[in-house]
Amino acid sequence: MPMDLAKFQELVARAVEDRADLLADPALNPEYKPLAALIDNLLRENQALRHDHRIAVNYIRDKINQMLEVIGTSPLKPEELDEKNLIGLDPLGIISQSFTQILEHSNLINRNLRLARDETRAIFASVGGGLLVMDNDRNILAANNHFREMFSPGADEIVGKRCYEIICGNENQPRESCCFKRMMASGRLASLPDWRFGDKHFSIVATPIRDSLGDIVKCVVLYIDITELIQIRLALDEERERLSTTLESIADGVIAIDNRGSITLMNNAAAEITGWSRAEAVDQPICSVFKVADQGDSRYHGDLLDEIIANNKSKVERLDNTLLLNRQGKWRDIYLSAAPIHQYDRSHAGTIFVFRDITREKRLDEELAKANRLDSLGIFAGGIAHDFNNLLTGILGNVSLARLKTDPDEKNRLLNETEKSTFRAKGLTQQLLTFAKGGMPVKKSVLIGELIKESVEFTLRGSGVSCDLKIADDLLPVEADEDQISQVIQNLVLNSRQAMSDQGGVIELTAGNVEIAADQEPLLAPGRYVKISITDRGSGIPKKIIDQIFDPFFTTKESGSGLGLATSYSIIRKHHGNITVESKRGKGTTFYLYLPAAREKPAAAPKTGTGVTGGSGRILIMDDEELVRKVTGSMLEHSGYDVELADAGAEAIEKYRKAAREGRPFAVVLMDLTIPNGMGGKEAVAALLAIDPAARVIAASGYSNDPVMADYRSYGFRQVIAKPYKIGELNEVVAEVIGAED
Amino acid sequence: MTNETRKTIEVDMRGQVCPSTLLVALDNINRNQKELSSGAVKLLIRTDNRNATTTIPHTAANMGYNTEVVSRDGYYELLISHLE
Repeated sequence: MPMDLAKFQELVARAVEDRADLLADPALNPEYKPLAALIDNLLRENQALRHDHRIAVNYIRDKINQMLEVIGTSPLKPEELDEKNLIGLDPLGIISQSFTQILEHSNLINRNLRLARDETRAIFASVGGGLLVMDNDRNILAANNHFREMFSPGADEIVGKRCYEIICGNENQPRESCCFKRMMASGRLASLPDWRFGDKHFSIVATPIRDSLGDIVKCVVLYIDITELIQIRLALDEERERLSTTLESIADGVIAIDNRGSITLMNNAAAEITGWSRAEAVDQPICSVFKVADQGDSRYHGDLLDEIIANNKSKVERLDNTLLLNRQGKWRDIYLSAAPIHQYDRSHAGTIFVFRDITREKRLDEELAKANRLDSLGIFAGGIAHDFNNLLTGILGNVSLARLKTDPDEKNRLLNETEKSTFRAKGLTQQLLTFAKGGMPVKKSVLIGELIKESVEFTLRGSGVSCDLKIADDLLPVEADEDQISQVIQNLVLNSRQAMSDQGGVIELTAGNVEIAADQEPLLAPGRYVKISITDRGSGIPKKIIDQIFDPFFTTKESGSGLGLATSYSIIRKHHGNITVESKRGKGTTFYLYLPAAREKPAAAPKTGTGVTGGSGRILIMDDEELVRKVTGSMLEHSGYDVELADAGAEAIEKYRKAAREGRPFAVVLMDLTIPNGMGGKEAVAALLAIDPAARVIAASGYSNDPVMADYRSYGFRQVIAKPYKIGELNEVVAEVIGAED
Repeated sequence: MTNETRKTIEVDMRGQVCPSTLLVALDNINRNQKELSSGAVKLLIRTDNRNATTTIPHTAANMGYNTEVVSRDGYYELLISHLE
């Protein structure tokens, strides 16, 4: 039997295990040799294939690891991926696909970098200053055209040279101010605001560029030519210095504010006038330093200031009537002008106030006005004396005739004539009082038609000149001091009268309403005005002197003071009006007078004439003048009253007290306001009211413009009566006071 | 907000007998390239392989992605999104 199959299988398994040739096994049955040779051959082939497979797998693994390394990660560990999984996972596919993405991403980054580089180049070329790129050893890496034009015009290539060879001139050791040196030392941006190079000025900024380790490897230096800026700044400084010197040397106060109302500038004169030092005032709100008010409203409340500041379009000028409350609490008269400050784009940046202390000038003006009044009074005195003598002649003549007449009707007629003359004399004294009045001007809303008429009559009295008066019926009221306006009319009419050389003639005076538009008349704000024209037919004013006629002390008359027109001008300007003049040689002169129309209506005139003829009761009459005491006593006795007389305050009080004690009290006391060397009505009424608060006292005065007469109630009087008075007026006033309820 | 419209694809590789965390992560990135690049999706990978917290963000960055790494209890969360 041949070698059995089981034995052969055993020999094959051992050969495989020992990796030995089957043929070499001595135990092999020779019959199996061809089969064994085939098996040996197959085994050797299998071994060779396994070897090749391992090489291939190792190759793949190496390449994967190589790629992973390129990606930047650690190689695969053998236990991480066995051969089977290595193929199954398709790492090469994954990595190559990832590479595609990495490449795409890199391309995108490159594109962006190219764009950024182009942008940087464009900036480098077009930037307004000179740009220099250097390494950390001051080797020039790049420079733009501006830099070359600034520091090396027409020179050869500068890249590769050191910066100091181009700029500082072969200076190896950088200066302390060198931006590069300071930038390298601090590691931060360094700048130099003003660096001189020849006759040029530059501002320099050096900026470091760092590598990924944070070391400075390069820097960019920017040079900006600021020569023009420096020149402008110098010119500005000079201008500011000039302005400041001018501001400090002028006598006018100057204050500037910004548009929030804070003070930004104040000169010496302003400090002196306001009493605030510059250091204290600057940055303060204007209203706390510059306290101004209108004279007509002399209590400071900031309204005027607000009004001026609010007007940010045009200049405001206040020649008169402006008061300033200084730090010491004193009111000063000022001239004030204010103008808006505009920025280059015309927007409002603040306000500038220019003002002058005119307190002294104003006092001088008032003195001038007083002197003018006295001067004019002298001229009128003749005419007045003439008229007064005429009236006295009438009174005296009629009284002496009445004495001689026995016929009661004839006597009555003569006494009526006497009364008429007396009333005309009363009118004359009233005018004299008005004219002689001094003190502060008091403005109120008035209709000046009657005032014009009276002033004209008064001025032309006793002269051969008459006046053709044309006063509009609808004449608007004006805000005026009646006495001052009367003085102006008198001055102008007197001027006209003198121009007609007292040879007689007619002066024309018209008064009417006009509407003045903006910029229509110099010095006049737009609005409604009363215009008065006074025309004479005199010789006219020569052209060469017409501009001087309103100047104080300018006169062409031998006896003239040169104050009349100056005072008139001053008064009218204080009323915010104006006077202008037109004259033709040989034909005559016209003065035009403008007064702003009042907003308010004038107060109604007091009522008169109740027609009371008498009454009863006890009346005490106090007057220092015996003639007045007696005649007033007689008039009241005639009307049915019981009368007692006193010559001064002390006696009146004693008599009042005694009568009260005796149970015969006085119903009314009539007191003269002015008693020389004795207690007058003002004090006496106070004393009397202290004894009897219910006392009814009437004030009487020859000074019809005494302030007590205008404001009698606040002094304690029940009523007033102006001397001289007729029996009828006296009866009305006394009856009214007796009849009035407490 | 664009965040609200974004979808998150989650891949949990914890406890896996992991052939290679990075290769699996890259495979996921590649397969979702379009949506990841447009910002439409985010990829959230959970792994307990510490080494992956360095290798994945580094490779993702080269491919143009941003990776946020958050350490959780015993594992890491890597949120991969388009670099804006």
